[in-house]
Amino acid sequence: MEKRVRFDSKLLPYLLIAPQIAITLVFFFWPAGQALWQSMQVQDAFGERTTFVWFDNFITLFNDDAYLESFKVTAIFSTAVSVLGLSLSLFLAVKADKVIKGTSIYRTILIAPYAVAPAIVGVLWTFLMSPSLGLVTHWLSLVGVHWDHILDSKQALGLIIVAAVWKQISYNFIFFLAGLQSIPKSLIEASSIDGASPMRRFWDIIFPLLSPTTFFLFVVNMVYAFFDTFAIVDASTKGGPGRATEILVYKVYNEGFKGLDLGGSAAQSVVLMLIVIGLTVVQFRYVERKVQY
Amino acid sequence: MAQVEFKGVKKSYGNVDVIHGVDLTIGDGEFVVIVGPSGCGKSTLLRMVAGLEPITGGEIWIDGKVVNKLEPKDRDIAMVFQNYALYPHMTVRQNMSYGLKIRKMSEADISARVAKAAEILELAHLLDRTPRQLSGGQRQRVAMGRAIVREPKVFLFDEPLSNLDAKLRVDMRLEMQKLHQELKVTSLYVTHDQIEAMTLSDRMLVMNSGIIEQVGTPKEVYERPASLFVANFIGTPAMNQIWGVRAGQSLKTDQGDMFHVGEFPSTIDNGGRVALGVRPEHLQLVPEAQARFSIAIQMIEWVGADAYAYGQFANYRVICRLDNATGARVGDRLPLSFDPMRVHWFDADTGKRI
Ligand SMILES: Nc1ncnc2c1ncn2[C@@H]1O[C@H](COP(=O)(O)OP(=O)(O)OP(=O)(O)O)[C@@H](O)[C@H]1O
Ligand SMILES: [Mg+2]
Repeated sequence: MEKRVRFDSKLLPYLLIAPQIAITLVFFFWPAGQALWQSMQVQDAFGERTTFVWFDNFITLFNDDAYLESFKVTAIFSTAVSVLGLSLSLFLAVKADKVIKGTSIYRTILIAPYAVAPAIVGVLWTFLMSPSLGLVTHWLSLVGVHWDHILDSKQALGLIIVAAVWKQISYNFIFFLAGLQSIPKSLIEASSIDGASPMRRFWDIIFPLLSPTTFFLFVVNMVYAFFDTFAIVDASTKGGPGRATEILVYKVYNEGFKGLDLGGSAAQSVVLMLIVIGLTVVQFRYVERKVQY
Repeated sequence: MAQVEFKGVKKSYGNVDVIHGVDLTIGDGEFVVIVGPSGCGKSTLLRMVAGLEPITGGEIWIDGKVVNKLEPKDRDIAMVFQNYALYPHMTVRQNMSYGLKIRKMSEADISARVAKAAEILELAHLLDRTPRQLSGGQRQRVAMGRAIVREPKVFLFDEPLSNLDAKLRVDMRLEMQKLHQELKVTSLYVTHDQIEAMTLSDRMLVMNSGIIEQVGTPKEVYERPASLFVANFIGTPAMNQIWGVRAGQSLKTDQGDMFHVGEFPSTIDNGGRVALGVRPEHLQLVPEAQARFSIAIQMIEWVGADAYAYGQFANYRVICRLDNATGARVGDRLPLSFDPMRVHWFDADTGKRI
């Protein structure tokens, strides 16, 4: 039965949701509106005159090779972060699910990175992988890999991917673990009587049953890689070398606050906003489709 | 098809003993039902046969081989779970053929077997649905189908009907019976429903906290319960029990009431403490003069064809089956008697049948 509260006064319900609405208005609609407005304007170099130019900023943007390059970098980055992050955390969750003794210790350790601020994650990994004194760099040199993300653009991208994945593993891990634990034990037992090897059992039974979780996490990770990794990039590579690690959010910041091209930067944030809206719609529409046990 | 043997089978979780040594041989094609109250170790016993729980003592043999160390898949058994455990993302057909596919059977053979099982279980029109699109009874049949297609040596059932409503349970029970007649596969069936146990089994095994109380045909178990526990557990309403000591040809209850019994088994000495058991249907309404004892009716439970009168004799609850025609009412006094051949005697200390 549906539970519904009835209010006598017409005003009260609105009053009750007013704080939420106020917050949404002030922190979302207002800045979003500003961005939209600014994205259609051009300012001269000294910020004295502003001209309304309709969609010129967007046209310039999509004709700009550097912007398209940044799109490519972001695509590689976010896909790598999602795929690597999901695979690793699924692997860890499957292992953790099998542990019987000391479960809470394992889980706490695996969840800890989530509590670390993104900027600190960036700094941490910059140190660990620093070309001259990094610990990981040292290990890599032992297996014959020369690591220098300051010069090598592929390695720079590798660094921010590693840092971003490391931070997100905990989040994925928690969801995967919960997903694994909600699979009835009798299904696993039935498959072992049916004769499935552990490998087959995973791919035939467990993985398909986890697919709603995986899909949900994939979207969440894409959003994360697109938007929440600014601090990691800023604290490690700062978009360099050249523009090798300049992902879209970082470019918005670079051009808006460093380059002072407010119109162009605003246009970029509008594009980003559309992307996040798209991802959210996908999430809401498809995540609802759940597999029933 | 095969024989299943338990030789001193034990199970403990850590230092908690759950099964205390089971010895039993289940003949080829026999249908054995394990009954007992919740937590007595029925599922554990079954799961040890399936290979889902390690055996901590003794040996289990299937078809002349010790299976203690074998993986579930190598034991050639099929199991039906209480919650059916159907793979939710697979169709009925895929559910049924999964085990065969893994065993690398040819496509043609698989579809032949699935078709045959679907026909027996009347599932043919449901083969392309997923479990979610099925009713409880249909799911149950798919779970059976998944077991049948494997053509295993042994079927294991863990309360397969307990998630169904009463009517469906009766239907499925009959189907199970038919199926067993047809396939004649050695089966072990766990339930806590005594009607299921009585109707389905060739032999039933009554368990109580990890111990086998009695093994026998339903008739044996009902007519000659081996212990007070079995006497209580099998039969609804439960058997009447009156505790007391033998005083000559009479029984003197713990409260001091006496009634004439007549013949006692020779092993009960004068003064020996025993429990007398008599089923509600073996208490007869007799003229006052011939009564051994009488009860005042406190409650009458009417269950269709019969009615049961509840009363009390010397602190013991006494239930008596009434003919509907008697027209007895609450408050009436019922003079009762029994045929001495139809009562059961149990040792008051051990609870064993005398
Ligand atoms: N993993 C376990 N660890 C410790 N004890 C267990 C475990 N599994 C079962 N037990 C104990 O073993 C005993 C037997 O359990 P089992 O599941 O075999 O009972 P059951 O007869 O099938 O009961 P039910 O009719 O409720 O299904 C119970 O007392 C239970 O508490
Ligand atoms: Mg059980």
